[in-house]
Amino acid sequence: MFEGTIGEALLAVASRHADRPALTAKGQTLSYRELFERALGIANGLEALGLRRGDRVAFLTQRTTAAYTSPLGILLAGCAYVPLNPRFPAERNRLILQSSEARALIVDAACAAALATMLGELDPDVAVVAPEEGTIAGFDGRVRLDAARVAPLPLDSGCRAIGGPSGDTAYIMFTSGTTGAPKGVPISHANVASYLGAMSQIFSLSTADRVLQAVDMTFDLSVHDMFFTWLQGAALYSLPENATILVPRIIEEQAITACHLVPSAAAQAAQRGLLRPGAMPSLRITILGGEALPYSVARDWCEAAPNTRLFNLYGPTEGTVYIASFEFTADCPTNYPVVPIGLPLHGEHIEACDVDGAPLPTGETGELYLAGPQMTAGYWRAPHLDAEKFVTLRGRRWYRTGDLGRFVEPYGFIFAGRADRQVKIRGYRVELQEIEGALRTACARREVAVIAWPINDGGTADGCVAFVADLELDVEATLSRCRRLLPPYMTPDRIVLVDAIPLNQNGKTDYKALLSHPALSSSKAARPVHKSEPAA
Amino acid sequence: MTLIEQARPIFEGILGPLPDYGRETSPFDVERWDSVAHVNLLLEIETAFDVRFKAEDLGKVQSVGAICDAVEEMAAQSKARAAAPSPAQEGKITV
Repeated sequence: MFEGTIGEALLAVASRHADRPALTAKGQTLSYRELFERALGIANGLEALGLRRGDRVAFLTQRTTAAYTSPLGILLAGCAYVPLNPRFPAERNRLILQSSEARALIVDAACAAALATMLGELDPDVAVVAPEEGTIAGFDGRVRLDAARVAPLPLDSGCRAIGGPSGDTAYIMFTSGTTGAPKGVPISHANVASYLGAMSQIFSLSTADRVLQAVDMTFDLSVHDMFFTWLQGAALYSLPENATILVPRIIEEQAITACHLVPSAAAQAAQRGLLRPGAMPSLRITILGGEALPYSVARDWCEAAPNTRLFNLYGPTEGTVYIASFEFTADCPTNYPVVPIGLPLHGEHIEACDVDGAPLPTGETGELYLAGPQMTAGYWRAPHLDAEKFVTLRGRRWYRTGDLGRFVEPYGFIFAGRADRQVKIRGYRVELQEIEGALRTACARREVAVIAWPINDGGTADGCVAFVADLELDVEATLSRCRRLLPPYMTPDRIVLVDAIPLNQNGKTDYKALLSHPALSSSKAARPVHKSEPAA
Repeated sequence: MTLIEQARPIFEGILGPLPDYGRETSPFDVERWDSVAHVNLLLEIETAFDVRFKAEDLGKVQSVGAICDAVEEMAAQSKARAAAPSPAQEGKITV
């Protein structure tokens, strides 16, 4: 779809479509000219601040226009963007900021006012950039760039996009890690270019399209939303905060033509009776991805959006958003547990492998190995993880996903769960060991275990339940401490106190036994009280 | 019974007992009134009073009073539409 950097490619599009709408967020619509002039202003400011190609710059914004101008400005400055999230606990944002070694932090007005709550103590070496008017108060002179110094620059004032090597990192996305801390996945401009090029062979957009952008920037589905939309001159509509359940209504009210959601969001809308047949006639493209897609969700969605093509997409963050695609149609096979994930995107490779990494015959289930130009070069500052997750076999460097699957003619791959303890909770990728680590910190007990529960059709979870071997534990205080360490979707819905954590014959935690623990069938535990929405 | 009183069982059904329930009750006073509860509340209110909020207006109604005022306004508009002569009655449509 493009060569070089994302910034260069986008600026070329912005010049062609300068007066077309590019973005609507929180009631404000920006044309391509306005969006990129703001981004250029930020890029100019970052350069004046002394930031150089390859430096990391974090941003912490609500779902305002700043959520979009910030990553664009960072890319145009030749730096790599690192998204933080105002809905994450301060400790998690601080860890990501620190781990990424970001040299600057962009904040919008709302987050600037609550920075201490959202981020805790800020490293004095991190320069604060506050592009919006009125965001300086409360920073005690620590703002290095204010609104005046990142004022928009005309599109034709000279391209500031740094045309560095496409191997430069475009962004670092932090995902749940097994060691108790989030792990960084750097993705290069070349990775993104390969992905977008492959996606454009599946379907395309036009300047008439209005695309719903539903996920937060800390979820890499946002990479697809922004860049795939803008490279084709279409308009992005940012979902208002906390409105995920109402997506069908927003699609109807805003005449949205393309949307991108996790299946949990569609399922919740269906449960609330919002997926009326024919309710979304404007929709022509739907992507459901990020977790296994149950047939019932796909069917309900297609009934509500009779004019849509529906794609079930699969891929880990390490492989740049998605790596496989399957188009769901009325004659789609229904004899599998979930909708197939299909075939690899153009130029990518997927194999179901045995424990030694050897490819398995058609129909046999094994771990999914991925290879191709979309794969990250490796984790951020974690060579031990690289050694564990990447392996060179048969002349290719493969990423071991930990996902299980099998190949079936002619549909491609069928997802069959996980080989490890990673789960999807309402669309979010979660390592249960990370929750256990936080729980140990919160309750100062070693014997703890966390299971995803309850499990829905397709194997995704609505929440999680923790078990602690201490009948005297102060549950409320422990949960309160967990909330300060974990995002809402990772915080246990409840803690069950037990005499001891059950062990299997190998002396390891017997998670299967915990799944049938009587406490889970009690009325109190029948349904978790959701503290957050689906990812989108 | 006022609309605020009629709506009380809906608010308490989702948010739990609200001893200080009244016009001014808002998410700032009720810990369980988070963003998800807010959407659930509005959907329940819609069903109970046969109205429909615009998705974009979600964030604008942030208290019991504001929600009930919005419901009354929508109900009044709906009533006015029902009372207005239809284009056919005005002779604008010919078959």
